Amino acid sequence: MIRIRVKLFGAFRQLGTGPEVSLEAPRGTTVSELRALLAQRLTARPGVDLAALLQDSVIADNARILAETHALEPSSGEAELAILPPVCGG
Amino acid sequence: MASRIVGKVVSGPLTHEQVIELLDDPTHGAQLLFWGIVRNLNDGRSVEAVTYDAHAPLCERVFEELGTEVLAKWGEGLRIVILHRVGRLKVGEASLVIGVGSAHRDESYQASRYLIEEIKKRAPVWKQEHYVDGDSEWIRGHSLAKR
Repeated sequence: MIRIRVKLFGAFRQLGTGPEVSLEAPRGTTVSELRALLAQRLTARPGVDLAALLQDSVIADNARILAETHALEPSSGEAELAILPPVCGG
Repeated sequence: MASRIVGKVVSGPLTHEQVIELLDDPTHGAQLLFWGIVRNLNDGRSVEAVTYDAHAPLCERVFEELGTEVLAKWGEGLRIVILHRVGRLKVGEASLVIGVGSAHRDESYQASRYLIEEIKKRAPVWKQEHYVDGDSEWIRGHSLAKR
């Protein structure tokens, strides 16, 4: 098993119990599978369609957006990621 | 001499002086600054403040990529400054400044417009509007997913 820490940004900040979600998953869990795990750990709020928000979001590390098929196999046993909802800077 | 591309996420106020200093270049005859300012109205709702959130490491990578694209399109001699502020900003405060310096005005105008449009689509930045009635809402934007 590996530990995966996912930082929450934007609209996700109001759907967790803190600034990140920490969970355990089998080594080799894909980004797509992680998204499904996050759906179970986040709490929908009135006016927020959690399923649609997750579908429109991407998972990233500190350097890049990860492909849906990317398998999580951190050598340290712990992955630090982020979930990025649709952006609106400026 | 400063780097040709400076892109940062900052928490303090944005000032004219910090941008001009980074754009300084004796070969340039044009400097163009675009300021993004917190507005008091959006979709008919009165806004009193906006909280900006960003994934700073990724955001600064995107700014660097955009600057590199601009130099490739409009010339290696340009200078690019992109500063995006995070935190809670009141109406009238600057959330973003894009500075472009170039030998002639045309490259600066085109590059500045390209940068703001791409930032809105590609930079991992989010905003939560705080309304006068006490409500707050995270604004939906552009998905970063490749479809």
